Amino acid sequence: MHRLAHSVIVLDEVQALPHAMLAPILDGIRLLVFHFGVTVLLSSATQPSFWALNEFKDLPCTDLIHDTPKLVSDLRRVRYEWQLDPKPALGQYRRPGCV
Amino acid sequence: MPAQWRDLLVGEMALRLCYSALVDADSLDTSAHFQGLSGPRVRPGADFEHLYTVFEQRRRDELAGRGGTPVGSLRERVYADCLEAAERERGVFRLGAPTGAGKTLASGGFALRHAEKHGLRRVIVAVPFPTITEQNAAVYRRLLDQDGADQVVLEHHSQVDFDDPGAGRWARLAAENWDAPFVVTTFVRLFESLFARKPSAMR
Repeated sequence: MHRLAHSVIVLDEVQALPHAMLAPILDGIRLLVFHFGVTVLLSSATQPSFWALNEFKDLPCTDLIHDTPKLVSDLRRVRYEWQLDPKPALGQYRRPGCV
Repeated sequence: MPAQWRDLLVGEMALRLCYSALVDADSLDTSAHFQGLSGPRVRPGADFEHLYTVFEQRRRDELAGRGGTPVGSLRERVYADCLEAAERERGVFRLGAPTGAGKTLASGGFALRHAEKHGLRRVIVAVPFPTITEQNAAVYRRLLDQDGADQVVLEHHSQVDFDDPGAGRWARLAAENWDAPFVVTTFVRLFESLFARKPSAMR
Protein backbone atom coordinates (compact mmCIF):
# COMPACT_ATOMS: atom_id res chain seq x y z
CA MET A 1 0.00 0.00 0.00
CA HIS A 2 2.84 2.44 0.68
CA ARG A 3 3.55 2.14 -3.04
CA LEU A 4 0.42 4.18 -3.67
CA ALA A 5 2.20 7.30 -2.46
CA HIS A 6 3.62 9.37 -5.32
CA SER A 7 1.82 7.42 -8.01
CA VAL A 8 -0.70 8.01 -10.77
CA ILE A 9 -3.89 6.08 -10.04
CA VAL A 10 -6.23 5.55 -13.00
CA LEU A 11 -9.75 4.48 -12.01
CA ASP A 12 -11.36 3.11 -15.14
CA GLU A 13 -15.16 2.74 -15.45
CA VAL A 14 -15.37 4.82 -12.32
CA GLN A 15 -19.18 4.78 -12.40
CA ALA A 16 -18.91 1.16 -11.21
CA LEU A 17 -17.45 2.02 -7.80
CA PRO A 18 -19.63 0.34 -5.16
CA HIS A 19 -22.18 2.96 -4.06
CA ALA A 20 -22.36 1.79 -0.49
CA MET A 21 -18.65 2.43 -0.03
CA LEU A 22 -18.40 5.59 -2.07
CA ALA A 23 -17.89 7.93 0.88
CA PRO A 24 -14.77 6.26 2.36
CA ILE A 25 -13.34 5.60 -1.09
CA LEU A 26 -13.65 9.21 -2.23
CA ASP A 27 -12.35 10.38 1.10
CA GLY A 28 -9.31 8.11 0.72
CA ILE A 29 -8.70 9.44 -2.78
CA ARG A 30 -8.90 13.03 -1.57
CA LEU A 31 -6.36 12.35 1.20
CA LEU A 32 -3.94 10.63 -1.17
CA VAL A 33 -4.14 13.54 -3.60
CA PHE A 34 -3.79 16.31 -1.01
CA HIS A 35 -1.20 14.82 1.30
CA PHE A 36 0.62 11.92 -0.34
CA GLY A 37 1.62 13.06 -3.80
CA VAL A 38 -0.97 11.14 -5.80
CA THR A 39 -2.63 12.08 -9.08
CA VAL A 40 -5.99 10.43 -9.79
CA LEU A 41 -7.60 10.04 -13.19
CA LEU A 42 -11.31 9.20 -13.18
CA SER A 43 -12.14 7.60 -16.48
CA SER A 44 -15.66 6.82 -17.68
CA ALA A 45 -17.97 7.50 -20.59
CA THR A 46 -20.69 8.16 -18.02
CA GLN A 47 -19.04 10.35 -15.41
CA PRO A 48 -20.81 10.27 -12.05
CA SER A 49 -21.20 13.59 -10.24
CA PHE A 50 -18.92 12.91 -7.29
CA TRP A 51 -18.62 16.64 -6.78
CA ALA A 52 -22.15 16.77 -5.40
CA LEU A 53 -20.94 14.71 -2.45
CA ASN A 54 -19.29 16.17 0.63
CA GLU A 55 -16.05 14.23 0.19
CA PHE A 56 -15.33 15.84 -3.18
CA LYS A 57 -16.92 19.22 -2.67
CA ASP A 58 -14.41 22.02 -3.42
CA LEU A 59 -11.93 19.53 -4.87
CA PRO A 60 -10.42 21.05 -8.02
CA CYS A 61 -10.61 18.84 -11.10
CA THR A 62 -9.30 19.12 -14.66
CA ASP A 63 -11.13 17.68 -17.64
CA LEU A 64 -8.73 16.06 -20.08
CA ILE A 65 -10.95 16.55 -23.11
CA HIS A 66 -11.36 20.13 -24.34
CA ASP A 67 -14.79 19.76 -25.87
CA THR A 68 -16.61 16.69 -24.58
CA PRO A 69 -20.07 17.45 -26.06
CA LYS A 70 -18.58 17.84 -29.54
CA LEU A 71 -16.63 14.61 -29.18
CA VAL A 72 -19.76 12.76 -28.09
CA SER A 73 -21.70 13.98 -31.11
CA ASP A 74 -18.79 13.25 -33.48
CA LEU A 75 -18.56 9.70 -32.19
CA ARG A 76 -22.28 9.01 -32.34
CA ARG A 77 -22.67 5.76 -34.18
CA VAL A 78 -26.33 4.97 -33.64
CA ARG A 79 -29.33 6.97 -34.75
CA TYR A 80 -32.87 6.32 -33.52
CA GLU A 81 -35.86 6.63 -35.78
CA TRP A 82 -39.54 5.90 -35.27
CA GLN A 83 -40.75 3.63 -38.06
CA LEU A 84 -44.38 3.73 -37.01
CA ASP A 85 -47.17 5.74 -38.53
CA PRO A 86 -48.54 7.77 -36.82
CA LYS A 87 -45.44 8.45 -34.73
CA PRO A 88 -46.17 7.64 -31.09
CA ALA A 89 -45.65 10.22 -28.41
CA LEU A 90 -43.30 9.38 -25.60
CA GLY A 91 -46.07 10.17 -23.09
CA GLN A 92 -48.10 7.19 -24.27
CA TYR A 93 -45.42 4.85 -23.04
CA ARG A 94 -44.77 6.52 -19.76
CA ARG A 95 -44.96 4.16 -16.81
CA PRO A 96 -44.21 4.73 -13.17
CA GLY A 97 -40.49 4.14 -12.81
CA CYS A 98 -40.65 2.83 -9.31
CA VAL A 99 -43.22 1.89 -6.73
CA MET B 1 6.01 14.31 12.14
CA PRO B 2 4.52 16.77 9.62
CA ALA B 3 1.98 19.07 11.28
CA GLN B 4 -0.85 18.10 8.94
CA TRP B 5 -0.59 14.48 10.10
CA ARG B 6 -2.17 15.63 13.34
CA ASP B 7 -5.48 15.73 11.49
CA LEU B 8 -7.17 12.42 12.40
CA LEU B 9 -7.96 11.22 8.89
CA VAL B 10 -4.64 12.32 7.41
CA GLY B 11 -2.87 10.78 10.38
CA GLU B 12 -4.62 7.46 9.90
CA MET B 13 -3.66 7.34 6.23
CA ALA B 14 -0.07 8.27 7.09
CA LEU B 15 0.05 5.60 9.76
CA ARG B 16 -1.28 2.99 7.34
CA LEU B 17 1.32 3.95 4.74
CA CYS B 18 4.12 3.74 7.29
CA TYR B 19 2.83 0.42 8.58
CA SER B 20 2.70 -0.93 5.04
CA ALA B 21 6.28 0.19 4.42
CA LEU B 22 7.34 -1.51 7.65
CA VAL B 23 5.61 -4.83 6.86
CA ASP B 24 7.10 -4.76 3.37
CA ALA B 25 10.60 -3.97 4.62
CA ASP B 26 10.36 -6.75 7.19
CA SER B 27 9.31 -9.33 4.57
CA LEU B 28 11.98 -8.25 2.10
CA ASP B 29 14.63 -8.29 4.76
CA THR B 30 13.64 -11.76 5.96
CA SER B 31 13.62 -13.08 2.43
CA ALA B 32 17.06 -11.53 1.75
CA HIS B 33 18.40 -13.17 4.90
CA PHE B 34 17.22 -16.63 3.92
CA GLN B 35 18.56 -16.24 0.41
CA GLY B 36 21.90 -15.17 1.77
CA LEU B 37 21.73 -11.76 0.05
CA SER B 38 23.52 -8.76 1.48
CA GLY B 39 20.43 -6.55 1.27
CA PRO B 40 16.71 -6.68 0.38
CA ARG B 41 15.81 -6.91 -3.26
CA VAL B 42 13.99 -3.75 -4.35
CA ARG B 43 13.54 -2.75 -7.92
CA PRO B 44 15.24 0.51 -8.95
CA GLY B 45 12.93 3.43 -9.74
CA ALA B 46 11.16 3.30 -13.09
CA ASP B 47 12.46 5.38 -15.98
CA PHE B 48 9.19 6.85 -17.21
CA GLU B 49 10.86 8.87 -19.92
CA HIS B 50 12.03 5.63 -21.50
CA LEU B 51 8.70 3.85 -20.91
CA TYR B 52 6.77 6.70 -22.45
CA THR B 53 9.03 6.66 -25.52
CA VAL B 54 8.51 2.91 -25.99
CA PHE B 55 4.74 3.27 -25.47
CA GLU B 56 4.46 6.13 -27.95
CA GLN B 57 6.59 4.42 -30.59
CA ARG B 58 4.59 1.18 -30.48
CA ARG B 59 1.29 3.05 -30.42
CA ARG B 60 2.29 4.86 -33.60
CA ASP B 61 3.44 1.63 -35.24
CA GLU B 62 0.10 0.00 -34.48
CA LEU B 63 -1.85 2.97 -35.83
CA ALA B 64 0.24 3.09 -38.99
CA GLY B 65 -0.81 -0.49 -39.71
CA ARG B 66 -4.49 0.46 -39.58
CA GLY B 67 -4.62 3.35 -42.02
CA GLY B 68 -6.53 6.60 -41.47
CA THR B 69 -10.23 6.56 -40.57
CA PRO B 70 -12.53 9.30 -39.29
CA VAL B 71 -12.71 7.59 -35.88
CA GLY B 72 -8.94 7.28 -35.93
CA SER B 73 -8.48 11.03 -36.17
CA LEU B 74 -10.97 11.62 -33.34
CA ARG B 75 -9.04 9.19 -31.16
CA GLU B 76 -5.86 11.02 -32.06
CA ARG B 77 -7.47 14.25 -30.87
CA VAL B 78 -8.51 12.66 -27.56
CA TYR B 79 -4.96 11.34 -27.13
CA ALA B 80 -3.44 14.75 -27.86
CA ASP B 81 -5.76 16.42 -25.32
CA CYS B 82 -4.73 13.90 -22.67
CA LEU B 83 -1.01 14.38 -23.26
CA GLU B 84 -1.40 18.14 -23.11
CA ALA B 85 -3.18 17.86 -19.75
CA ALA B 86 -0.45 15.54 -18.44
CA GLU B 87 1.84 18.60 -18.27
CA ARG B 88 -0.33 20.18 -15.61
CA GLU B 89 0.10 20.05 -11.86
CA ARG B 90 -0.80 16.91 -9.93
CA GLY B 91 -4.39 16.54 -8.76
CA VAL B 92 -7.70 15.06 -9.84
CA PHE B 93 -8.39 14.64 -13.54
CA ARG B 94 -11.43 13.43 -15.43
CA LEU B 95 -11.61 11.65 -18.77
CA GLY B 96 -15.22 11.64 -19.92
CA ALA B 97 -14.78 10.42 -23.48
CA PRO B 98 -17.48 8.15 -24.92
CA THR B 99 -16.97 4.44 -25.58
CA GLY B 100 -14.70 3.83 -28.55
CA ALA B 101 -12.73 7.06 -28.16
CA GLY B 102 -9.56 5.20 -27.17
CA LYS B 103 -9.70 5.76 -23.41
CA THR B 104 -7.39 2.85 -22.56
CA LEU B 105 -4.51 4.20 -24.64
CA ALA B 106 -5.21 7.82 -23.81
CA SER B 107 -5.24 7.23 -20.06
CA GLY B 108 -2.06 5.14 -20.35
CA GLY B 109 -0.30 7.89 -22.29
CA PHE B 110 -1.50 10.52 -19.82
CA ALA B 111 -0.32 8.51 -16.82
CA LEU B 112 3.16 7.76 -18.21
CA ARG B 113 3.76 11.34 -19.30
CA HIS B 114 2.45 12.77 -16.04
CA ALA B 115 4.63 10.37 -14.01
CA GLU B 116 7.65 11.41 -16.07
CA LYS B 117 6.95 15.11 -15.67
CA HIS B 118 6.44 14.97 -11.88
CA GLY B 119 8.89 12.21 -11.01
CA LEU B 120 6.12 9.92 -9.73
CA ARG B 121 6.99 6.34 -8.90
CA ARG B 122 4.42 4.16 -10.58
CA VAL B 123 1.16 3.96 -12.50
CA ILE B 124 -1.73 1.98 -11.05
CA VAL B 125 -4.72 1.25 -13.26
CA ALA B 126 -7.76 -0.10 -11.40
CA VAL B 127 -10.93 -1.40 -13.06
CA PRO B 128 -14.17 -2.86 -11.69
CA PHE B 129 -13.97 -6.44 -13.02
CA PRO B 130 -11.16 -8.98 -13.47
CA THR B 131 -12.16 -9.56 -17.11
CA ILE B 132 -11.49 -5.91 -17.98
CA THR B 133 -8.21 -6.16 -16.09
CA GLU B 134 -7.10 -8.91 -18.45
CA GLN B 135 -8.04 -6.91 -21.54
CA ASN B 136 -6.33 -3.77 -20.29
CA ALA B 137 -3.23 -5.57 -19.08
CA ALA B 138 -2.87 -7.22 -22.49
CA VAL B 139 -2.94 -3.82 -24.22
CA TYR B 140 -0.45 -2.23 -21.83
CA ARG B 141 1.85 -5.25 -21.98
CA ARG B 142 1.91 -5.11 -25.75
CA LEU B 143 2.92 -1.45 -25.58
CA LEU B 144 5.36 -1.56 -22.67
CA ASP B 145 6.98 -4.94 -22.05
CA GLN B 146 10.21 -5.68 -23.89
CA ASP B 147 11.89 -8.99 -24.55
CA GLY B 148 14.94 -9.56 -22.45
CA ALA B 149 14.23 -6.62 -20.13
CA ASP B 150 12.52 -6.68 -16.73
CA GLN B 151 8.74 -6.90 -17.00
CA VAL B 152 6.97 -3.57 -16.67
CA VAL B 153 3.31 -4.47 -16.35
CA LEU B 154 2.05 -6.37 -13.32
CA GLU B 155 -1.45 -7.81 -13.41
CA HIS B 156 -2.90 -8.42 -9.97
CA HIS B 157 -6.41 -9.71 -9.30
CA SER B 158 -8.24 -12.84 -8.20
CA GLN B 159 -8.09 -14.49 -11.63
CA VAL B 160 -4.31 -14.45 -11.90
CA ASP B 161 -2.85 -17.79 -10.87
CA PHE B 162 0.63 -17.07 -9.55
CA ASP B 163 1.21 -20.78 -8.87
CA ASP B 164 1.06 -21.43 -12.60
CA PRO B 165 4.72 -22.00 -13.59
CA GLY B 166 4.14 -19.76 -16.63
CA ALA B 167 3.31 -16.80 -14.38
CA GLY B 168 6.92 -16.60 -13.27
CA ARG B 169 8.58 -15.79 -10.03
CA TRP B 170 8.74 -12.06 -10.57
CA ALA B 171 4.98 -11.64 -10.93
CA ARG B 172 4.36 -13.66 -7.77
CA LEU B 173 6.76 -11.63 -5.68
CA ALA B 174 5.81 -8.28 -7.18
CA ALA B 175 2.11 -8.92 -6.56
CA GLU B 176 2.83 -9.09 -2.85
CA ASN B 177 4.02 -5.52 -2.71
CA TRP B 178 3.34 -3.91 -6.12
CA ASP B 179 7.02 -3.34 -6.81
CA ALA B 180 6.46 -2.69 -10.52
CA PRO B 181 6.29 0.47 -12.65
CA PHE B 182 2.84 -0.29 -14.06
CA VAL B 183 0.21 -2.20 -12.07
CA VAL B 184 -3.15 -3.28 -13.48
CA THR B 185 -5.55 -4.32 -10.74
CA THR B 186 -9.18 -4.34 -9.61
CA PHE B 187 -11.06 -1.86 -7.41
CA VAL B 188 -11.30 -4.64 -4.82
CA ARG B 189 -7.53 -5.09 -4.54
CA LEU B 190 -6.85 -1.37 -4.57
CA PHE B 191 -9.33 -0.45 -1.86
CA GLU B 192 -8.56 -3.52 0.19
CA SER B 193 -4.99 -2.32 0.37
CA LEU B 194 -6.25 1.11 1.37
CA PHE B 195 -8.68 0.03 4.11
CA ALA B 196 -7.64 -3.48 5.14
CA ARG B 197 -6.63 -4.46 8.62
CA LYS B 198 -4.46 -7.45 7.72
CA PRO B 199 -0.72 -7.07 7.09
CA SER B 200 -0.62 -9.06 3.82
CA ALA B 201 -3.39 -7.08 2.11
CA MET B 202 -2.02 -3.77 3.35
CA ARG B 203 1.54 -4.48 2.37
